[in-house]
This record gives sequence, C-alpha cells and structure tokens, in this order.
Amino acid sequence: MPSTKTPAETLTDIVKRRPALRSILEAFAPIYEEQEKQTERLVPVMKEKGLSLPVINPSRFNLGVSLLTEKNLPHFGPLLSDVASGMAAVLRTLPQFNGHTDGFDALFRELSVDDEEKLINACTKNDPSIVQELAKSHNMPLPNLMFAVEMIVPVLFRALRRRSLKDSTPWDENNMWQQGYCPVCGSYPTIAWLDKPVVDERNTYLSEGGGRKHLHCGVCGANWRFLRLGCPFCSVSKSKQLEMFSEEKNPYGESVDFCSDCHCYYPTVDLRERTELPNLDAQALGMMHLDIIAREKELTPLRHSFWNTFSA
Amino acid sequence: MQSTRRSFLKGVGAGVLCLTLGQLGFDLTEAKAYAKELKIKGARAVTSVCPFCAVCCQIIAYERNGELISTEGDPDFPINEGSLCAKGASLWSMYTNKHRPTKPMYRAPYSDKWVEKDWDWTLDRIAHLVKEARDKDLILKNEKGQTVNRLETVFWMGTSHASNEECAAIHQSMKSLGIVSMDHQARV
Repeated sequence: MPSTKTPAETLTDIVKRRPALRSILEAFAPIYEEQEKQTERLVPVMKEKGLSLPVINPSRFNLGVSLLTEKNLPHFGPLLSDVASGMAAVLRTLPQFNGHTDGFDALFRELSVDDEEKLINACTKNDPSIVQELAKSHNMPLPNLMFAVEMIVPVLFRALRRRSLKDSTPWDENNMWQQGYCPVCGSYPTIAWLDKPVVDERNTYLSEGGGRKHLHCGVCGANWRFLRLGCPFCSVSKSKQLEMFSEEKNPYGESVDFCSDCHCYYPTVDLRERTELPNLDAQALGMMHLDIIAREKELTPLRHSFWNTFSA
Repeated sequence: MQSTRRSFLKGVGAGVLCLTLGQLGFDLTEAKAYAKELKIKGARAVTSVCPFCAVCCQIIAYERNGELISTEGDPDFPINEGSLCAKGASLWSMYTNKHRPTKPMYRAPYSDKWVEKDWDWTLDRIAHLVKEARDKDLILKNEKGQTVNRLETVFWMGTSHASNEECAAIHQSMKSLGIVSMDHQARV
C-alpha cells in the first residue's frame, strides 16, 4: 500500500499529537526526506546501469530464501559513495556528527568490493559486528558507522526494489512468501500495518473485513503479508500467543504487538480508519514512545534501530 | 542466514553496538517522561469461531484480565477472510449485553410476569407439553385411511447456532415425533 504522505508530512502529523517528541522527529524529517529524494533520483540510474532484482524463483521462495542473499548481492560501486555524499549534508546536522562527516565520506569513497558487501550485510542482518574491523581501520566509532550505514544502504535497496517492481508485491500471490523476514533483502521488519477492507461486490451484505497484517521492511521498503496472529521471529501462529498494548486514550490505531513466547515486539499501525496513509518509516520513528514502554517491559525489538535502543 | 540473525538478536545486547538517540546528542528526558505518564491498555488475541451458523467464520477475540473486550473477523481464515455478517459483527454485544437472558425465563399463561426457572424444571415442562400435545393431536391416519402419524400442532424452529450435524439429529428426532412443520432461524 503506497503511502500518500511524505516522511516530513507524517512526522509533522505525529508532532501535532505528541509535542513531547518534537525535537527528535523534527531533526529526522530532513534526513528521511533526503533518503526519499535520493531514492527517486537513483531509480532511473539503476535502470541505466542494468541493476535489478533477480527473478522470483518460487521453489527457493517456498524454502524461505530471499531474493537477495549473500551469494547474489548487487555491486553498487560508485553509487554507494554517491548516495553517501548526498546524505552526508543532512547527517552532519545531527549533534553527534558535530558538523562534519569527513570520516565516513572517505570510507564510502574508498570501498573495496569486500567492504561494500560487509556494509550491506551489516545493514540487512542488523549486525554491527560485521563492520567492526572497518570502523577500526578508519578510526570511526562503530555506532557512528552503523548509523551511517542504516541511513545510506537503504536508499540503494529501495531504489533497486522500486526500479524492479515499483510498489507491486508479487510474493503475496498464492501466499508464496510466509516468512517473518523480508522477501527481498532478508531483513526483519521495522513496523507492521493492517490494511483496509476490500469491498466484494458479490457479498455486500458482509460487514467490515480487512485487517490483514503486512510487514514493512525498513531497509528496502518492501511490504509483505503475514499471519495476523503470527510471530515474525518464531514463525509460529497460535491462539493466545500475540499480545498487544496501546495508549488508553486516543491510540490512533497505533500499538505494539509482541509474542508472549519469545518476547519480541514490533510497532503496528491500523490503517483501516485512516484516509491518508503515512510514510511507514517515519511512522515507526514516530511511535518511539511505545518503544520506550516496550523496553521497560523487557521486550526485544524485532529489528534494532537507533530509536528503539536506549541503553548506552 | 536465519540462525545467524536469531542468535544475534537473542545473544547480543544491541545497545552496546547501535547508535542510540542519546548518543546522537538528543535529550530523551521529555520523551521518556511522556511515555511514563501514558496510560496503557493491553490485550491478548485469541482465535475462536462465531457460534451463529454452520459457516463457522473464524474470529479474533481480544481479552484482558479474563474479560472479552472486542471481536473481529479473522482476515487469515479462508472462509470469511475477515468479513462477518451483521450477527457475527455484533458478537461482542451478545456476550456482554446486560439484557441477554442467561437463565431460562418462564411466563405462565395469562401472567404478565417473567419468572426465573432452572434447566431441570424447564426441560421437564417442555417434555410434558410436547407429550401432552402429541397424545392429544397425533393424527394416525389420513382421510384415505393411510397411516401418516402426523403431529400438526407442534412447530419446531431451528437455530443457526446448531451445526449441520446437530440440525440433522434434531430433524430426525422431530420426525420421529411426527412433527411436520419445521423451519430454521437462518432462513427467516
């Protein structure tokens, strides 16, 4: 379901409801906007360079093998440093980078094919230890490098997915993909959303419907259907396993779903009552107040991000 | 790949490795205070089956502290795909409406009052009335002298709460009494 709101519009809407998050959300609005701008710019470039996703192989898909694996990662080459320098302008506005991003500018410019693979794997696997050596050799704090990776690599993956598939989700046909991780890049989702009802002209006497759960990948932006009561981490769906919590007053369809078996959680937004559809990456950031509560309940996020990690 | 991610998520405290908002230079005091002040409500999702008819649409019921708080159609169930008819959609009120009788209520002939009765009394009363009507009204033969064993003064109204198999058993037992007038709530 393509969003009808830009990341900045989504964050502005949330700030109106939750002024307490203003300073954080307003600081990230230009970064998310730049990601979107860079992604759109890259789509025709990807086409020109002949970069595209592999064709779906249904038998591999049924075995839970994502389209992109360690074996067939695309080589982005200069596009990676190109995006890095584009993103640097907005990243250096964050207090942590203190006005300069020279360290990672240089790092992305001089990348070998092996190092590029490491950066991409660190992002899709959500595993900073993969780039530990790289950070050391470039004299960069590991958390800084990981943050830059999580802001830069998704731009390339999103452009690659849009160039190949636009917003279509061929993996939803015949329930071809039933995993809790992304069918394109293998990352765990950052947010889930419940879709609107599909009106069936032949059965207009039936009420409601809709509410199918979709997971959204914060790396490549893919969406895929998943079982409403299933846990993406355990890959199990059973009664009494899914629990949730939300604000008591005015939850706006926003909640945290968590598995009572493995204690993994993810934010979920119910879009059934919404006329405008938010940008899901911005929406996930805007629900960080629920992340704070989830971490207090000792739940583990399905995918670690800078907004849901609070311990130093 | 999957096992690596799992072991990583379970085994590593990502707080040590991920850049946090605090490390990015943001003051989280206000956000944390806001989260602390929030009143939170929770629920557990349980799958169940709509009791109204033999279609057996699946529903998701939400319970909190043993109380049913809402119901909706299960979008993953292939039969109803999240849709419910008007009766199924009002399932929550069937369980929670204070006007719903939960015990047999009896109003005697010519009385204007309902009296609460137990099930033993109620079932005995129904059995006696059916027997009384059958003993009095059973038609053994028709005008042509053919055996019909027909009871025309008792009417059976079925319920959509009954499954196909229950309906078949009820139908046979009513036929055995000679009852010929039967219908079903789901049809009317």
